[in-house]
Formats: sequence, C-alpha cells, structure tokens
Amino acid sequence: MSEDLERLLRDAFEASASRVTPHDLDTDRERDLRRVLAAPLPPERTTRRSLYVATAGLAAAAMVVGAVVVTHEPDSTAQLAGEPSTSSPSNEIGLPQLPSSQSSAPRTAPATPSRTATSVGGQSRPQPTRSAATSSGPTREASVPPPTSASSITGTSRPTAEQPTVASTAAPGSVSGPLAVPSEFVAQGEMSSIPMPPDLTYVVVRRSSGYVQIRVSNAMQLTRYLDNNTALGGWPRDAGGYHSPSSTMAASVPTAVDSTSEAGLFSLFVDTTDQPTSTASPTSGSSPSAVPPGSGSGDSTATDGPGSADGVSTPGS
Amino acid sequence: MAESEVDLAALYAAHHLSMVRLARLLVDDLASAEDVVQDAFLGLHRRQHQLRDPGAALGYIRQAVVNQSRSALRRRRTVRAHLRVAEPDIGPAADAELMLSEEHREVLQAVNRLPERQREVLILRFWSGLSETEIAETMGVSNGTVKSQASRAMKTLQQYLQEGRS
Repeated sequence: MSEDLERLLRDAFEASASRVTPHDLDTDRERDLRRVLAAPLPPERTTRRSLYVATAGLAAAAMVVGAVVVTHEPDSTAQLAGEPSTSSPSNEIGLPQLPSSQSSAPRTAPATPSRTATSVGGQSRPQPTRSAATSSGPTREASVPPPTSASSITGTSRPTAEQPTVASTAAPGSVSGPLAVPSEFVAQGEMSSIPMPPDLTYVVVRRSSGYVQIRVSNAMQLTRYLDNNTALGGWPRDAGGYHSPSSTMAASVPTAVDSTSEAGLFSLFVDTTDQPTSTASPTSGSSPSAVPPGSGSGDSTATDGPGSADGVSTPGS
Repeated sequence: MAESEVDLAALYAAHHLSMVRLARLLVDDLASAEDVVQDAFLGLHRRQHQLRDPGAALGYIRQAVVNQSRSALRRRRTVRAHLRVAEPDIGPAADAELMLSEEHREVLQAVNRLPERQREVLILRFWSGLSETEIAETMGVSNGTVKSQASRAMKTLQQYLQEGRS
C-alpha cells in the first residue's frame, strides 16, 4: 500500500511538473535575468563591504588598545580633592612625606615645585615651592634655611599633589608646601592639607593626636597669608586664633618666637571650647588652646607649644 | 572570473526549468513560481562571494526556492485574510488539472490539504528525489524531523485518499 502511494505521488508530481514547459515561461524575464547573472558584481558593493570590514577592524583595534591601556594603568587618575592620602600612615600626621632617598639627608638639587590640589577652604592654586627664607635665627634643629636665589626655582619637574617638598638648602626637616592636617580633623570633614605661602618653609616641631605644631620661617608672612587668603576657608578669627565652624579644629595665630627673629610658631589643635556645628560661629570669648589632648598643660598659649617654654622643640625631644 | 566563483549563468541555464517546476509544485502558481526562482538566483548572485563551495550552489538555490515559496504562500494567506473582497484569488487556473488523470488529480488535491512542512517533505522526496539529509539541509531541520514529517504526511495522505474513495 505504501509503495503504491509512493509511486502514485511520484507520478502525480511528475505529471504536474511536466505541464510547465519552457514555452510557458516568461522569456523576457529569463533573458534579463541571464544578463544580470552574467554581469560581475557592482564594484561599489565590494568597496562598501571593504569599508565595513575596515571600520570593524578599526573599532576592534581601538577596543584592544583601550583594554591594554586600562589594564596597565588602572590607577592613573588623580587623587580626589580632600581625599586623605592612603599612602601616609596615621602616625605621620604633620610630618612631610619624604622619599626614602631623602629621609636621612637634605637634597642638594633644586626643589621641585609643588602644587596644592586641595586646601582648607577650597582654595586651590598651584604653588611653586622656593627654597628660600627671609632670615634665620641661630636656633636648634628648627633652623630656618637661608635665602636662596630665584634661579633655584624649577618649573619643569613633575608636580606632586599635596606633598610638601624639602627645601633644597634648608636644615634637615625643613619643608615647604601644604601642611598636612591631622587625621582626626580630616575625619570630621576638614581638608587634608592647608596651603602655605610659596616662600615659607617650616619644620614640624611637635605632633600628637589632633595636634601639630610647626616652626615657620616667617610668622608675619604666614599671618598675612592666612588673613588675606582663604587658606583656612574664611574661618572666624579672634584673639585666640582661627576656629573651624564645622569641626573642633582650630589654628593659632602665627607668633614670632622672639623679637630678633622672623621665625614663629603655628599650631593646629583641638578647640576644646567649641562644639562642631555647621552654622554656628565660635563664641567671641572662646580661647582655643594649643594644648594637645592629654598633655595636661592648660596654661599654655596658642602660640606656645605644649611642654616647652619657648615653644621650640624637636620631635622626639 | 575567479576560480572559486560560481558560473551563475550556466547554473541558471541548466537548472532554471527544474527550479520553476519545483516552485510551481510548492506554490501552485506559475507566475509566483517564476518570481521565487528569480529571487533565489538574484540572491545567490549578490552573495556569491560568501559561497565557499561552488558545488553547493545548486543546494543553495533549492533551499532559497523552498524558503521563498514558503514566504510567498505566507504573503498570499495574509493578502487573502485582509483583502478577501478586493484581491482576486491567486492560485491554480481552473483548467490547470484538466490535463491530469483523475488519479493524479485526486492525489495532488490531497497533498495540497497537508500542512506546509509535510507537503514540502513529500515534494522534495518524491519529485526532487532528495535523501533525508538533503531534505533536512534544504528545509533547515533535522533528519528526525524530516522522517517524522514524512511519516505523518504519508499516513494523513492515505487517510485523505481513502475518505475520497469511500
């Protein structure tokens, strides 16, 4: 039965198909189609295809190059403003970070200009560092470097963000550039560094938790700078110093060490009389204390370093 | 002409008529069959640089004819569904089967009642004489599908013929 049906199907299909003869076909259409098929492909089609292939190749190559660049330089972007540097340990607050090759001896090469990427109060402008100071008193370790000529300024070195630079001819530990803010204040929302005058050099004389005291080469210069610029973000100033309206951070008014020298002391400390509020201004009667937390010497002034009569002490002394 | 390219003019001269007949069996209309074959050859002409094996050109044409026939039937169904009044019926002429024997006419009418895929399998197998593998490649289905479709088609066809005779 199945074989009969198959045979029947073959015969029926053959009979139906054989009724289509060449005479039934459209000869004009057949002739035109033969001519089209015999002709080669239009050249523009091949060109367009080549263009597509080339475009795809370029796109693929660009993606490969991008992937290679991202792979090899994943962290090439600049550090965000106000972001604490992860490379500086917390116990090094206030101390300038020095390269390992510079930690033991001062550099003799010209100092590199440092640019302040972040600052208290949002002021940000490049600050080329000069290895110069106006004068120097015969003090101990915190000696101010002697003035140098302007030719020592170099502008071709790679700028380093938020890294104080070592004054080329200054005493060991004398640096210039932005002053690092203790991490306690950074945690309260303060910026990670305070810009300093370009010509000013300083030495960190004392540091502890929430406290840093530096000896600057020119106290008056720093005072003018703090008053005339927004280095401290326009903090209110009273007789006791500058008070941050948003944290317990306070800064002393730079004060000369003695009458014969331009050098002075400047401190960042916890204002124990002030409560951090976002809008309140410090009370006029509040007198910031320069005493580091836990030192117990409450009679010290803002300009005097804790535990030292003349305010000049060296780290570790 | 490059060695890898297909001599489409020669292919057309050799297989044009058989392809029109195949399409005619599938779409049941000579004009539509000619359209289908023309589109199949033009498609190969546009894509002949993509054809790796020149020996597969005939299979490509056959596959294109089957696919185009399926599309033509689908378009025809759509036109009939939406323009039933305005569109004249497209199909075999009234005297198309007058030259056929009664037996062949009865078989062809039963075949036309089959589902599309089953009808394609029967035509490719019993008129084109293709193997199951070739039918599978032409229709883009598996060998098992071809076998099952052919089995169902034969069973249904037998049922239709018995109903007609009784």
